[in-house]
Amino acid sequence: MSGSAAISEGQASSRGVAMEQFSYDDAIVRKFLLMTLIWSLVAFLVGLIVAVELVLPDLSASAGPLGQYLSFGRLRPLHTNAAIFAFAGNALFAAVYYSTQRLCKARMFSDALSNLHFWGWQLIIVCAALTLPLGITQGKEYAELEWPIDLLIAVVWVAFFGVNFFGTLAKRRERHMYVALWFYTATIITVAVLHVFNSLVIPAGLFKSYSVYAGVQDAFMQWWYGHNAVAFFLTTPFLGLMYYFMPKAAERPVFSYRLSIIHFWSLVFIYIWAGPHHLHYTALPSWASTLGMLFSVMLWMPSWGGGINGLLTLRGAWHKVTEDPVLKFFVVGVTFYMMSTFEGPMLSVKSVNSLSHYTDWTIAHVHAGALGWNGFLAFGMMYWLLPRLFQTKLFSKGLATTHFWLATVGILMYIIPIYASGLTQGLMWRAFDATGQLKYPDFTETVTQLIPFYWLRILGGLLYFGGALLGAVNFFMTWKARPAVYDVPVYSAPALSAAPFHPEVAPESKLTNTIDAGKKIDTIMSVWWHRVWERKPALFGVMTFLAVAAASLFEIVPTFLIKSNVPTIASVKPYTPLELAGRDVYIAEGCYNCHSQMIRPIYAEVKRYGEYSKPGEFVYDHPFQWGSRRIGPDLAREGGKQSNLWHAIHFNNPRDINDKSIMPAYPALLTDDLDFAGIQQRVRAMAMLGVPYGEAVKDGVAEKMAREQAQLIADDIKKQRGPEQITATKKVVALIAYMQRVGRDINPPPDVPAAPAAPAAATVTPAAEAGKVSAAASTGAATSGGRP
Amino acid sequence: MRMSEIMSAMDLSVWPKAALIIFIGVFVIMAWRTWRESNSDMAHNAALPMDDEPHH
Repeated sequence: MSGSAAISEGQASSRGVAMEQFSYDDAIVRKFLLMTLIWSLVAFLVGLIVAVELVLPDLSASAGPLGQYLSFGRLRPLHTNAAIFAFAGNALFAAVYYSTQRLCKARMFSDALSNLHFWGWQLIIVCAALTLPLGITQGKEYAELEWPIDLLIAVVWVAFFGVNFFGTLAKRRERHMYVALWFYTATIITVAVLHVFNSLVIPAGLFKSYSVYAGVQDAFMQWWYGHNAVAFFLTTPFLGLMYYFMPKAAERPVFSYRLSIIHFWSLVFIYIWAGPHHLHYTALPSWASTLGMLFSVMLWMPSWGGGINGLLTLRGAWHKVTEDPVLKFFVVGVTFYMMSTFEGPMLSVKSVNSLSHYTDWTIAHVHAGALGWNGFLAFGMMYWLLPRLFQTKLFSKGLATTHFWLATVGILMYIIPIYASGLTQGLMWRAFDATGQLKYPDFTETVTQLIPFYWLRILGGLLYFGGALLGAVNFFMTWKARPAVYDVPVYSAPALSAAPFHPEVAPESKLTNTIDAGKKIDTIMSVWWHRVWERKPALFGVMTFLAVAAASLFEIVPTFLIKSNVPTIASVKPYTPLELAGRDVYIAEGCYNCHSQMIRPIYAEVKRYGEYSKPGEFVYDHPFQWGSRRIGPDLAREGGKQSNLWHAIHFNNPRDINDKSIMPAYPALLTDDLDFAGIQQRVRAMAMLGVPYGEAVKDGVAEKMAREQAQLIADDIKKQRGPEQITATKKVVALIAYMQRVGRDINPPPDVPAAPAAPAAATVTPAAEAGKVSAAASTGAATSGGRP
Repeated sequence: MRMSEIMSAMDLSVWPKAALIIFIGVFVIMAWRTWRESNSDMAHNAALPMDDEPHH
């Protein structure tokens, strides 16, 4: 691929106005577009693999020693990260680099920064692809990457991308910043804020860290981030893309520029409030989730306003849609945007959410958004850009049209069965028989019903993937027909200072028969000051930041500072060192991708899982593990329900306990040794966060306590004639210790003498007390029903 | 008195109301601003993507 040589920005004269000559850097757009396509194939392929794993749960274990790196819990974050940050990320960067230069009539601020951004971002994605299958994760959805990668993201996003973008705005030759640039500005500022504040951690080694937030606050911050990652990574930049590429493809201006302004400010201001709707009926305070719901419902207005604005841009050009695959992709993409943004607020209504949450309904919703909105816009943009970037004809319009139809049918075949699956699951969970008992008390029943839907999803995913493969062929063949050397057009435009523009002083009031104060009000009411903002990128950026920050602080400050939000529970103690290590295994295996740890105060849930979860139970949970999906049952009250041996057998192969289970087998947990030496550092990191570990932070104490508790559990398994290979050094023992502890603190069992023989100095610590709880749990009898 | 104590003493129902008022204020200002803009300026701004490859 040939890079476009930078043309020195010379000056010419045209009718007395100093003209500046410049060229655009399209080489960087070509790079980002290529990686958009490559990462789309990776994201879709990994998505297909995890979809197959749900119907063939022994698939990962059948891969032998490699299987532990390919389990659903480890690959699902890879799929979501690849789809969001690799596929959609590279697409939005391609859009930003192409359109920003042209809307500013200026080359990017720095070619070096452009390339640092490109290579830095690809490095981040490669790091994600390597670390996530290895189980190196923070355990927070869409924010899984560990702290060194988080630092790299911050540097690449702010120092390379942000500086380059705002530098380009500063040297632009077009006075007015087109609305697409507003959306890009909001994206860059808000994503930086979200990423930095949600990623605050205390490292416990190079590949391990703990969130500085705990429980309720961590959940709040995570979904403030998670929802707004959707808003400001998958929505605002793609709206900027829509406002630029839709008019280009339709060859007519946007339907209403006025509407686009309202769309922008309403969206930016409202979206940021909506995150708590992900936490309805959880231990999050009700006022916060209600606020999230109200603002989510309000999002209907700007979202549909923007969608209608996009579609009406085609006024008088609808006949082109029949012939042009680019417009086909755009029209269906915007339609999916409107559908998703109708559905999102609907799902945020508490009564609807009580049914939909934790079910496949959410999965269908996000795929309608990601594949329908982001995917179709990205591919539409790709087909529009290919002939322009490679300076040749698109290889095959027919192939592009076939891609469109495969993708359209594929996505429908994906989402329709998964909507049905979600409804089926939600209704089965809450079904009661005539005697007032759960109609489907065995959770496995509610999973096996979904398997036919899961097969249909695979078929739909295959079609969508097949369409993307056709896109790759079209891309490659178009690239092959490129010229030997790219033509680099040189453009000219007057420098900004020489261009005529509205004076940036307050206009005179037209009022005559009024006092001075009235004239001043009239002047302010003319809103001339907003036009000034729109010409000043830094000021505009600050105003955008304030809109986002004000909304965020209105929720964050009360959540963190009002004591009644998280009433403390005296019996809740920190995890023992071994339980903490087991919790880290739980996080590394990505168990939160299938299991929630949050029982909502809904009768069907209390009946199925036990007492509903309290905010005070999670004060030592760094990070929280409430989850967002129940492919398996909730585990919030798992402690003490099963014996240690039951857990050991279940982890080795769930089908040995329940032949219909779709949980992956984890034989490696029974053979891999736990890193006992690393426990001390982890306990100290938690202590730095305020967890009262007392004497356990002293050298060697945490490891000693962990080994003693592990020996108790291993002895218990041996006594029950469990597998010989399970010794006190294995990972599975730590995970069992954690599972036996989960959810027991609010109703601890009577003290038993089987507690681990902790060091004398540690016996008085809360950690040691918690150890007794776990030991008590180890004697729990197997009582509950089936589990997938 | 600590900040958390001050905050804890406040009525929680104030927050959603204040949020709503702030939003309405911002919305009204933006709607007013776009309404006051001249049609020719709006047409010019809307057409920017159509004229972004100026003369060679």
